[in-house]
Amino acid sequence: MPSLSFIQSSKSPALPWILLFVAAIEMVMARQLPDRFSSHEVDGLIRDIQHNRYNPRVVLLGDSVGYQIFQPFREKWPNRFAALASNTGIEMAGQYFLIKRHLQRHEDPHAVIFLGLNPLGLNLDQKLTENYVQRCFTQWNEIAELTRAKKSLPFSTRIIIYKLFTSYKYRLHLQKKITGRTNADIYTGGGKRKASGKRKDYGIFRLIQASLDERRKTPISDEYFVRLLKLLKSRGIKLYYIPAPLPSSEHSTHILPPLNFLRDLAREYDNLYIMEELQMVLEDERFGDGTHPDKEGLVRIHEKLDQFLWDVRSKERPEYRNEKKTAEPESR
Amino acid sequence: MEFNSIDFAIFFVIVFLCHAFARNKWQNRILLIASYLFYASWDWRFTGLILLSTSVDYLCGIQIHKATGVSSRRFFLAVSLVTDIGILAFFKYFNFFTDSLNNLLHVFGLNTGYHGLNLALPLGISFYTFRAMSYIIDIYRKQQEPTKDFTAFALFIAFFPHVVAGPIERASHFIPQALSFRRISYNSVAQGSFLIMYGLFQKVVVAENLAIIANNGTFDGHIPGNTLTALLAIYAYAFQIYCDFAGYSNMARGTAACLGFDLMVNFRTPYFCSNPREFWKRWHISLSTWLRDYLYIPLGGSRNGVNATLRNLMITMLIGGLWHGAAWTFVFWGGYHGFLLVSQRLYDKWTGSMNALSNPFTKTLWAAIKWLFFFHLICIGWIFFRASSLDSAISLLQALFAGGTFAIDAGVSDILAKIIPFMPVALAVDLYERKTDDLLSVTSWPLAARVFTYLLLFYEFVIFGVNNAQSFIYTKF
Repeated sequence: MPSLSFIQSSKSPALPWILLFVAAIEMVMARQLPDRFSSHEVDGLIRDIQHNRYNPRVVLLGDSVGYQIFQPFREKWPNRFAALASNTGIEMAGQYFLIKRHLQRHEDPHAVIFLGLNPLGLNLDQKLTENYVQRCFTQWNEIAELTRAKKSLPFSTRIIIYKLFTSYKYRLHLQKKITGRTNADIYTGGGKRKASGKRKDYGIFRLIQASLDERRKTPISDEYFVRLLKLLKSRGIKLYYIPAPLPSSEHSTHILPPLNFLRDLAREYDNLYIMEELQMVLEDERFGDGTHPDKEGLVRIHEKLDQFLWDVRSKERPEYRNEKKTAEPESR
Repeated sequence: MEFNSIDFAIFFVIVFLCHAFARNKWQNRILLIASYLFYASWDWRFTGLILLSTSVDYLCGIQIHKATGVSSRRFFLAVSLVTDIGILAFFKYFNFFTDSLNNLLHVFGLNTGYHGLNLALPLGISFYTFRAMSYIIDIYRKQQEPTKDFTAFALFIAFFPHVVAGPIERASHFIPQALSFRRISYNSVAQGSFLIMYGLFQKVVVAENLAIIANNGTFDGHIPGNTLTALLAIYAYAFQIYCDFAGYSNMARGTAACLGFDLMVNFRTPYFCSNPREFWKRWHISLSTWLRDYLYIPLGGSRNGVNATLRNLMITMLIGGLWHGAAWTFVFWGGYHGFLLVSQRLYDKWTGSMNALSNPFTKTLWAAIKWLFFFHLICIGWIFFRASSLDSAISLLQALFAGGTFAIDAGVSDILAKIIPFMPVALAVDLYERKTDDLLSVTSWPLAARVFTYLLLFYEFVIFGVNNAQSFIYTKF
């Protein structure tokens, strides 16, 4: 039997043992924690994509308004519509990764419907970016893509830390489990950001990063919107964009998508359809927080929208008329 | 670039690797470039200021040493001190003095209508100015030879582990290290890594979690109805500021150790003290020894009788308070500690002839009472240090001494639940340090004990660390 006297030694280096123990602990955590904890809808979606075997013909993407509107489809017809709408915090990069992961594990749908406010113009620097993108999309190919897009070493390092340390990824849940309390909001991940924009920043590295950001020709989310389009086009999948419903008086204050840019894209990519006619403008009182419709608002939205969704699903839209139908639609 | 940020971790790994493979003079050059980049990462505009101060002090140091006449020695000393103090006074205290003057004139019905200058405070200015001044004064006193190596001197001023918040190193300790080739040993990296890890634990886990408790408005005039909650906020701040600054100092020592430098110890378990003199030997040691050597002793120290000693103590502590920040709360805090030190002198004089306690139980009990009493005196000082204004501090004190409700309600149990995962660890390490007087002896523990301790600290940091931690408190000074 080998001697265990080395554990008494004050000279033996501790580093190899620490690495060994940390690796072992993290492996156990990686097996245990994701099934027990999830912070928000993106966590749940990623698990669904990984574990559920369904092959719906339509995938629904979008922000939190889209999530809210598509919720009945998620609950009632999970095998007909894959409702992958989540939150604006994941930006277009996250939407792209979600659909990519979905396509890797499921049969190709014939259409993707995106419903939300403006999905463009963002650069992965929002309050929720860490909790919704860096913490969630940690496959090596995703890390490589985000590194290429963001061009920030600290940004990528943080994703790698989330990948390697499951205990760090679920630290807020562990805090809650151990003490019954957390030091930050699990949903937002804390989000106590330093105020920016008010005072000019003179830090040299931040200036370099800002200069790199400024030199970027198109925002990261625009770039990923195009990549999403290309990916879908390469597989013969149509993308329908439906602008989110808006309150009538705040029509102008909401961040609306640059429709000209989208129309240009639609001319270039024949699989993109901008469904401006489906955008609803409701009375102000139908929006509790100014963005998300209330119960009555949702009923009215569904009255207008549902038929469109079923039509897309059963290829009853004009866009499909010249296509050879590969399969008969299921009955409603 | 905070010590507890990913940016710094990446920066440090790059610097460490470049330094480890560098030959001879390139070691200092690499560290100097890294130090200026580190400083510029906060605000590049002030790199010129630190370079100006460095250049003037470097040249004056050589001239003072060369000069034979007293007047020319004094002249170069004056040039250096006027430059250093002038920069510090202008950037840090100009608005404070003009505002105070305005307020004074306002009392007499005069309104100047002057609103001060819009000045940004250069980071670490109080620290590097004091570092530079000690070098010049030591040369003037012929206690230190000037270095001719500009890179080594510039590194002494701007070395990134200590540029922002100390310790306020002495040239006699630092420059010889900078002038020699530093071979990086496993031992120094192991000790440095432990200090970094422990410093991170102190800052990100202990200080930041306690900050959440302390920032409940108690110090800003919003005193909670339950006095116990207010009291806990004060205790929380006492440990927050200690772990924040001691954590910074440990990380500074740790990063320096990984680069082959030995920086001075800045804290030695100050909260275990039971009198102000001992406290100041253990709290922010590099500042208190600086004030002793360059202010208190030149003023006369304790050489000219009781009254002069008490006066010198008060002056030293008032200036020490003002050093922390340009606000009356800091001046008051300094004065308060001066008062404590003066009181101790008088108390010692009074009790000097009394017989010491002989019964071990009575002795222990008396020591415990003294410790508890003094800890609360320190906490009263922190009220002035932390309060947003003197009015807020006074109203908090009034609320505390007026009694009020002392109830263990949901707020109190929430605070206790928050601190349970980490406070016992922090206190255990402090107790160990108090007993051994050498925190680094942890690195020579048996393997099993070391692995357990490091894992414990690591997972405390990973799980209980606070997201988006605030800046170190002392970087604002």
